[in-house]
Amino acid sequence: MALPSKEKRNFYLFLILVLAHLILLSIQVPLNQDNPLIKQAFLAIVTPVQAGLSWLWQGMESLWTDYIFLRRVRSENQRLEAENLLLRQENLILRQVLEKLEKEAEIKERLSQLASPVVVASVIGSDAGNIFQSLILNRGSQHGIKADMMVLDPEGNLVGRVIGPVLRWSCRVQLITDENSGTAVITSNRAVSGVLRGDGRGRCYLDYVLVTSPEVSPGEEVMTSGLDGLYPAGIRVGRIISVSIENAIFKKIEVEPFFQLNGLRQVAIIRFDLSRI
Amino acid sequence: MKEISKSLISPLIFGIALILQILWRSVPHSYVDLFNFLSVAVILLALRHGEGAGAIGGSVAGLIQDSLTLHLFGLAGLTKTCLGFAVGLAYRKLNLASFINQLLFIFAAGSLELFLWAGLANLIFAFHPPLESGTFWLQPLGTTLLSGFLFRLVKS
Repeated sequence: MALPSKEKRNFYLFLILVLAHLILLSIQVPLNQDNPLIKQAFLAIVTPVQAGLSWLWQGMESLWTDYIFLRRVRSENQRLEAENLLLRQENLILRQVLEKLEKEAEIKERLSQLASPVVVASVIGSDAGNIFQSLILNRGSQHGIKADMMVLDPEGNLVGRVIGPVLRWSCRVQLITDENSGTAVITSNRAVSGVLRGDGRGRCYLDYVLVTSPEVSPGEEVMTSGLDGLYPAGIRVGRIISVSIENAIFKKIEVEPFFQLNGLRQVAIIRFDLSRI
Repeated sequence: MKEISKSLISPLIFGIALILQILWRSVPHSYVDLFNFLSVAVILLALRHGEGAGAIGGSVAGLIQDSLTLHLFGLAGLTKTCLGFAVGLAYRKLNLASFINQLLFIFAAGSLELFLWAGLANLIFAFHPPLESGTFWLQPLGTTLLSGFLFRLVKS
């Protein structure tokens, strides 16, 4: 039997590959399996390379900024010293307030719980499809990271939560700007609460706020309410930038997140369940 | 020796593309969508080795891209397979001797891949690519310039 020509073989190969991808996609759609094993395998191969390259790149950057280009170091040092002084004062005041409220043993226990809950992680990759959906961090199950842990930016603003699969040395964060995310929030004046959903374009919307609910105005801050059981109450999320009437039932409230995705290099993963404090 | 070094060019291109893709996206920034180095690698592979290699390379590159996203696994694999096959086949069938023709052809292929990916994502799988981002729509141009320049370099 004569073998098919090279052109035909290539065409059959193409059809087989397309069919394989369609099967792969169709397997995930009805069952809503976000992380098939093959995806995890690819991720497990790619993320160590990602982490290594990111480490190398950051090393080169720090070589330049820490050893060669030292122009701003003096002023930066002075600024940090001043900030450090302020933070120590603030810490002292907070401790005094806490002491007034609770017994020493309880305070020590709570502070010891807080001693190692924060894991500082570096961003080693942004989402290859839409940067407002997810980030990849260089910390994983080896560092005690689990799914649903809260992720904050260096200023303490909510960035998102860790989602599975958590690999040994890396994990993925679903950003609050992802259109499939949902965060229970409340306005700073405690008047209105709702569910914050990302739009996949860098902004968020406050859903399920009734037209009859109290007035909210642009400029008001939005923070977590703790009602979703994922995030503790009081974490800063964003600021309302516009309010309009979407339909006869709900308001359309647009929120700009506080965290800045552009240039975000480091985040804090909160390992401790803050709702217990 | 020359044959060995010639056959190593394609894996090398692929490796470099992966490294560049990772470094380019290692920190989120405004121009992150401007280049898709994996598409560049698929186009170069298809131009050098034909539609079969283009389709296989496209599958692998697409699945790598898919593993780094939150949405469905296999979408970029599908579109990049089509890209690799179409570029390899069309390049063999069409007369693309001049550099301008090559650039126009790569631009058309890159645009087609982007439209296919964005279209499938938006219409069928109901997640939204960053269509408002200006740099997203400039991606075919970035891919074209880079691929055209590199193809000329590799060919010479």
